[in-house]
Amino acid sequence: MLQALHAEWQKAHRRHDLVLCFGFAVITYLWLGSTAPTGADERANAYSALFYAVPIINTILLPVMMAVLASRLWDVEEKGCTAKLLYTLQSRRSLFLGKAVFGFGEVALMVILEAAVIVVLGRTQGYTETFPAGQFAYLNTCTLAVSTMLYFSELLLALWFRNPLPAVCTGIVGALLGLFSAFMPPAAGYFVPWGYYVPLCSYEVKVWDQAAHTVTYGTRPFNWELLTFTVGLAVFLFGVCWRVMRNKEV
Amino acid sequence: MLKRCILAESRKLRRSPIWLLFFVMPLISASYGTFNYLQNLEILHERWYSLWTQHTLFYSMLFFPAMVAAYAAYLWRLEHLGHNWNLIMAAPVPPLDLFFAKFCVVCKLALLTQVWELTLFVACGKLFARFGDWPPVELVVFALRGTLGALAVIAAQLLLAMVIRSFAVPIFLAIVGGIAGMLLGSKGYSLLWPYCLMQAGMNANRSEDVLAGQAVQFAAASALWLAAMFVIAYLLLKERDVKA
Amino acid sequence: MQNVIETDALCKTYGSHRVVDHLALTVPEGCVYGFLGPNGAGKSTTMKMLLGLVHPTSGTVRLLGKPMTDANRLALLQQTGSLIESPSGYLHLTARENLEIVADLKGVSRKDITRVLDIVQLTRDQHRKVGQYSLGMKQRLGIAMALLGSPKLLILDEPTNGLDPAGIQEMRELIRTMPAATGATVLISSHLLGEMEQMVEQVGIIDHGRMLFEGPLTELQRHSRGDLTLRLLHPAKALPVLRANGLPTADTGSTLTLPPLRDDLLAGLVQALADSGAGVVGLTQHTKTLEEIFLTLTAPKEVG
Repeated sequence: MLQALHAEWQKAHRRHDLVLCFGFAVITYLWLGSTAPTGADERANAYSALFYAVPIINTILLPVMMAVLASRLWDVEEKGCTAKLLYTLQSRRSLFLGKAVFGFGEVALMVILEAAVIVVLGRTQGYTETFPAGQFAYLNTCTLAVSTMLYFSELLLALWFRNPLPAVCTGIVGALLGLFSAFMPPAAGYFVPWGYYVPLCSYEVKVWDQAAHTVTYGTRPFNWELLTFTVGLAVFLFGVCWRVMRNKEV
Repeated sequence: MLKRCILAESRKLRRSPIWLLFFVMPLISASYGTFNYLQNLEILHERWYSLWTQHTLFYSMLFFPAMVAAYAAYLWRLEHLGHNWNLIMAAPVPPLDLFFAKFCVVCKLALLTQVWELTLFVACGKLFARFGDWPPVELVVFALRGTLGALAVIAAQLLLAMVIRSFAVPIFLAIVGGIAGMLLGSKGYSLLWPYCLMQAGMNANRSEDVLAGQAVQFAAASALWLAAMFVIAYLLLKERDVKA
Repeated sequence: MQNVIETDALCKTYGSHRVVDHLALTVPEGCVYGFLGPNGAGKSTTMKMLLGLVHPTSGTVRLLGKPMTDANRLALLQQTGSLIESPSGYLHLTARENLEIVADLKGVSRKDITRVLDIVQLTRDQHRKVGQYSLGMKQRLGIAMALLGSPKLLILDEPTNGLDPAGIQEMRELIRTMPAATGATVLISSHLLGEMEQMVEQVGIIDHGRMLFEGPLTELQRHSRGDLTLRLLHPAKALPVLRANGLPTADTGSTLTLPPLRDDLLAGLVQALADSGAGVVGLTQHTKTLEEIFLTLTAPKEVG
């Protein structure tokens, strides 16, 4: 198992996945940072605003990002025609576990980087709102759960089609659908897994004063049901990926 | 020779279902835009213009570049796989023609997508928003302008996909470019970044014309970015050794 | 006779690694030229430089009498067919569709596609996707692509890779008859000398980027004269004769091993031995196989 993971690590050597993960962090930093709170009242509300905005940005970026990472993970084997070699060198289980753990590590790294971006923004832009630690933990858990679920769905497509195109296109279309579902009635969001970041979000707009251009945010209860469903879906997709990899003919 | 290259290029695209993406994306964009417009009638008063922004905002900011990126990456992936660089570079055609041919093929599809987007816009306006009149001609001008700006994005993505052998990374970079474009555009630097040009050209986020009185500058910036991409492509194709 | 390919002091350096080192390659018109060398000797890089796919670090290339420059490149490529490294091809398309693409790029008529498909015997499989092809079939498709438009110069990099014995035999026949049939000059590379012997007239042997031997195959074969074995009834009587001719006279029973000799010297020697009453029973000429010559040429020089 460790050997398989190490092999994945070596394969990623010149693949520059780390650059992609850091690139993602830089974009979120720039994007979230571009709307820095200005007045005192905004600073007092800043974490709420940030926690409301993060899931929407995640909905736009992460489905594509997950598709990029997942499709690359399998595409290296496809390009090098190495699947038939690997299947003779290691058990399919260890190959799959190596890939799955490595992939999950990448997803986790991105979530950690995003969490770091939130903390850094709070420090550098002088937020006066108390840091909502519970909400912070919940937000990152949700991001991790949804991203992992999406990651395995994209990996599944990459495995099926032996070609990164369907996975990446699904990522793009999924991001678009997810984004739009965020602005549709809440029920619609439940049908679009790519956009689960938004219905899982525990912040909502309380008061929107159109004349003064001010928004007040409030919280809503954590959505445990959907989070459980997302984790279940992730486990299910993980299982399907494993079946496909196990039964794959090379 | 260019004609031959374009012919060869369109031949390579047989049996690839990539056009499906170009069909689906505007459809999603239009249904969402119409829905959102109808939901927010109390704050959106500009009729056709309001509907236009709802239809085109995310489309021109993120998803059009991503779509073009997927297409460009697909075209170059065909060459990156199976030693085809040797084949095309040993063919008796100027290397830039190969690039230009791919450019033409993507442009053709992008143009069709724009027409499709515009058709959906008018249809939604007539059928769902129930506008009695026809949309102002200006919106067609916006769409054309957007297409002009899109050319630079197409060239940039083809360039990235040519250099980067990975399929997915150029698509990721397209999204990065689109977001950077949105941020720069909101600060008024639209003409300085190719990915802004389409957003600005489409006038996607405002009711008043963001490019009023800047038509010449816009055209010049589009042409300049396009030319820059072609010059870089030319130099790369000419100077770099072929690695198949 | 004009030379179709001429290179002068051709070099290619990657970093500090010199892949091709002052190579002078001369391919006369209308011949099949075998470009031989072990794997990694610089054959592919040289061929890529001939086609302008890789830019030489220094040195010049002349094809068909014209220097390979940016200005001439396209005109020269128009008259050249090539297969470099592994065969190219778009896997999601059929063989015919692939050839249509190449025909379009070369500006060659469609009718030629049927001809080349027939030559490489892919007519029956022309409507199958190349993705389903075996390696040998892909190789043949690659050759069909090179043959499109009846080029004056064919540059084929290990074209028999992945072919079965029957396929290799057909390929050999095809290439051997190419100059006579179409007037084309063929440059073909391989790391196996044996497979070249029956098809090439000229050979060049390259190792570590340097040309070790270049000339007609017959000249290479002249290097191949091996030792002679002489069988005698009375070896003792032969010794004075041998000594008189300045030949080594190791006593090995009824057979003697002699170094290679020129034909006239050998005839004289046999006459003298017969006259001496040694009783010549048999004379066997050993020939070095080309593999052996090849190995002696490419073997690393012993140090000290």
